[in-house]
Amino acid sequence: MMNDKDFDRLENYLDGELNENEILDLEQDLMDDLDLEMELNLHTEINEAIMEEDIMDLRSKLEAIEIPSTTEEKRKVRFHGKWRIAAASMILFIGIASVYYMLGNKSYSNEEVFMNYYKPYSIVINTRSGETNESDKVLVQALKSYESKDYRAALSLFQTILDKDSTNLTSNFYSGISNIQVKEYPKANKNFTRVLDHKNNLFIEQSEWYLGFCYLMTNERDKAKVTFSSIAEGNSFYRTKAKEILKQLE
Amino acid sequence: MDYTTEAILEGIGMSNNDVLNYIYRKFFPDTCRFVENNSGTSEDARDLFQEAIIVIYRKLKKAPLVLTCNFRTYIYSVCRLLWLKKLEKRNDNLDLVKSDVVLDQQIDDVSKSYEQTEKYRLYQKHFKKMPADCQEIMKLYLEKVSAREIAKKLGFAGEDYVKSRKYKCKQTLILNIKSDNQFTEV
Repeated sequence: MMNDKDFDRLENYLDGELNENEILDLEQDLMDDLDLEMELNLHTEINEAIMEEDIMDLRSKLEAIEIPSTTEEKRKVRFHGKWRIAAASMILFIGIASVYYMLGNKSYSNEEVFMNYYKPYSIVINTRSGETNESDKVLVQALKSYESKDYRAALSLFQTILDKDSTNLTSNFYSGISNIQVKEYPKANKNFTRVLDHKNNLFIEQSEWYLGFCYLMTNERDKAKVTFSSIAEGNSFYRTKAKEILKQLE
Repeated sequence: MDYTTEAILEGIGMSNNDVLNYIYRKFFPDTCRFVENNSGTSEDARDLFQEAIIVIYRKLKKAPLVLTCNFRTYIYSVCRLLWLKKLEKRNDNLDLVKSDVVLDQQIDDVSKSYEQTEKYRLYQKHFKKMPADCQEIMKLYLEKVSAREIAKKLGFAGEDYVKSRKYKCKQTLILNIKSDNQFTEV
């Protein structure tokens, strides 16, 4: 694993944030150190790959294409003997019956769905560089408390930020999760609603997802269904899980 | 309806859903049969076919592609070549395919593009798994948006937070990529 200093140097080099002397030093080191050079190549390639949005879009489209079943299925049937077909049919029947039993007959309570799918949003925070701005310091402190699962302390720190700016997205979002953790679901609902009202930020899909759980825990099952349906129909990161939840809620 | 070779290439270049669906419907079964008859599974065939289309897309991005054969022959040749490369890596049943591959001048630069495609696929797979804010921060950094602007745009408290988050996101991304078994293969 490369040390932090070299990692920083390579990143700053690629971001154009090194001064002339630092560039010369790095270039000299690159000539002497093959590993460092390989690491720079990797960072460069990753940057290029990140910018290939068109390719990522194309790949998503290709992954979404349904393969025509006829070729695969027909061929399989042709190669299987009739006993295999019979056995496969029996397994399929048992499988369908089990799924039908599990999904169709078993009804999941709101709490069960919550237990099955809810987990607090994980964050990675970094305190390498000293924060200079006062609200940055409070935020970092709040996130540290959140990360160490001290949700009440985190809530109190987020609140000091929200007292000054009730629309602060980061504080609202993490307050929302913290409130779920301490079972203050209506308060969490309020936090997520504020984030969603903002409409254009990075916590939208996460807030929508967690809002669904708030509804479950305040026994507003219909609202939860509407929320998870909207996630399931969209492009959200949580789409697949939302579909599973909907099955359990039906 | 049927598309001409030119229309198919144009459709790939524009990631046109109708054309992509048509390509799968019309040409995937040949590839699937070929892969399944040569030590692969239908899942391998699906991966291969997808990467072949991406390789063609990359070629189209560089320069217009004029084929001297029809699209069916072309994509089949590309898939066969790519499958051969896969088997080479696996050291598996090489003769079986080698004897069957007709290396065409038009596809001999496909392998280079494929190596890039495979590598970048791995990087992109892990990038897509990053939290949304990480993805956005890294992209904005590469677009040379300042940390201050990023903080403002994404609702973060300040530029120090953005910088440290970007550092951590990138570090995690690289660590995840390196920890992937495929990393040594590509």
